[in-house]
Amino acid sequence: MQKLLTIEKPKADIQDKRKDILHKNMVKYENSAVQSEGAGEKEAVIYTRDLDLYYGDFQALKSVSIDIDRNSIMAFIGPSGCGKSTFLKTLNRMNDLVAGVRIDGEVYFDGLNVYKDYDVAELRKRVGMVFQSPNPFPMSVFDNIAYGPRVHGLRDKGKLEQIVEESLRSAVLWDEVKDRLHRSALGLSGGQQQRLGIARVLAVQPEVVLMDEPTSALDPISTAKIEELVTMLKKDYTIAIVTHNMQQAGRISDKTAFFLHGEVVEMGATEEIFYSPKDKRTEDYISGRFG
Amino acid sequence: MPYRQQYIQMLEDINRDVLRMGSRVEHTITLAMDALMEDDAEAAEKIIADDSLVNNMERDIEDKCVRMLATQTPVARDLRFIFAINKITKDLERIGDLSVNIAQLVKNAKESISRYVPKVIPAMAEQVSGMVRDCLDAFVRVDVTLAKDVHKRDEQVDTRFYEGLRELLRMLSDNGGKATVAVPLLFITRYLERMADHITNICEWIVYFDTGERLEETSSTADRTWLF
Repeated sequence: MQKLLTIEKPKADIQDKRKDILHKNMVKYENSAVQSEGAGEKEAVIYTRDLDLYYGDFQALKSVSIDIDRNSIMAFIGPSGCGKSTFLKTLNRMNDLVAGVRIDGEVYFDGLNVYKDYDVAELRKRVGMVFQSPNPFPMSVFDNIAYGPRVHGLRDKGKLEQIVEESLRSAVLWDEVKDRLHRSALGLSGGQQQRLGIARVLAVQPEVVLMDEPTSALDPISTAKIEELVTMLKKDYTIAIVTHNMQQAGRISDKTAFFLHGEVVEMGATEEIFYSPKDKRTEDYISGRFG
Repeated sequence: MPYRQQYIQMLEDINRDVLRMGSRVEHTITLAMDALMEDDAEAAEKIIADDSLVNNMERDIEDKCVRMLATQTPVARDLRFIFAINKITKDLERIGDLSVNIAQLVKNAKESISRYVPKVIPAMAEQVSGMVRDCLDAFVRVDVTLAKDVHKRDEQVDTRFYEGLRELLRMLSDNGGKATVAVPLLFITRYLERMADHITNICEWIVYFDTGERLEETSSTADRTWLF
C-alpha cells in the first residue's frame, strides 16, 4: 500500500538520540542469550526480554522473552488466565491504563524501548490492535475507516477516500460495502464488522497488527474469511494473534508460543508444536487433556 | 478427573483392538505351522476361511481411526498414534495373509510335505512368532527400546532365510530332487522372511508414534549368497 499518511518527522536532535538508543538496543539484542532459533535469518520487529507484569500482587507474566519476526504470524495459545492476552497488550501498552499494573523487563519495537522511547499515540499507530468482539463506531462505514487518519490530522478528502478504499480492499470487505459506504456500520454482519475493525487498523498503516481472539465471536465462514485475510496481510504486516482455537493457530501461524500460568512453556515453529511438542504440558494442552 | 474422557476412551478402544488383532495374527502363524508339520489340509482350510476375521478387524480399526480424525481432531502424539495405527494394522493384516498363503500351499499339496521340511523353517517360524509377541508387547507398553530390539532381530531371520534357500536349492538340484515339495517350501521360507519385514515396519511405527522420529532402516548383514 502506498504511504499516504505520514507522521510529523521528529526533530533532528531527537532523531540522533533515537539512533543512539537504536544502536545500543541492537547491540543488547545481538548479545542477548535468548534469541530464538534461526534469529539470524529473520528480523524480530518486536521482542521482549524478561518481561514481568503484576496486577497488584498477582504476577500475570513471568520472565517472558519472545521474538516476533517481521512479516510473520505469531500465535499465542494457552488456557484462560495464562497471560497470553496480557502479553499481547504489553506490546502496544494497552495495559497502561489498568490500575495497579507494574511492568518489569523490556519490550522493544523497531529497536526502541516501547515503554521509554515511544509516545503512546505513535506506538499504537504503528502497532495496531483488533479486539475479540467487533466494535464498530456508531457512524458510517466510511467514517469508521477515516477516523484514524483524521485523528492523525489528515483532512484531504481525496486522500481519505483513497485510504478508505484501499483499507477496505486489504480487509477483503470492499466489494461487500462499496455501495453502502455512507450507511451505519452497525448494520453490517458480525464477520463484516470484524473485517471493518481490521480495515480501520490498516487505515493508519501500522507495521504490526495485534489480534486478540479476532474470530471467537464469528461463524465458521466468517472465521475462514478472517483467516484467509490474516494470511494475506502477512506480506505487508507483522501479525501477533491470541487464539483459543488451536486449529486456527495451526492453520495460519508460523510460530506458536504456549503460555501457562504467565510463563512461556514452549515456543517454536507451529508445525513442530502441533506435530511433536517437546514439553508434556504443551502436549496435554493441545490434545485437550487439560485447560 | 482428566478432560476429554470420551476421547481418551476412543484411543484406548483402538489400542485394545490392535492388540486383539495382533494376538489373532500371531496365533495364525502357529496354526499355519502346525498345519504344515502335520500335512493337515483341513486345518489349513480353516485358516483360510478365518482370514476374514483379521480383515474385518483391520477395517473396524480403520473406521474408528477415521471417525476419530473427523470428530476429535487429534494432534501431536495422538495424531501420530492414529496415523501409526493405520500402518500397523496394514502390516498385521499382511502377516495374516502370509499365514494364509502358507495354509494354501499345505491345502493344495499333492503329497506329504512335512517330512521334507528343513529344520530352518520351524526355527524361523518360532523367531517370527516371538517377534510378533514382543512387538505387541512393545506396542502396549510403548517400549521404544524393546521395539528397536525386535527390529534388529530381523537380521537373524534373514540369516536363516538364506540358509533355508541354500538347503532347498540343494534339494531341488539333487538327482531325484523333489521340485513339487521344494518349491512350496521355498515359498514358505520366503513368506516367513516377509513376515519379519512387516514386524520391523510395526516396530518403526511404534518408535514413530512415541517419539516422532523415524527409525533408520538397517541394512542386513545376512549372507546373501544362496547358490551353494
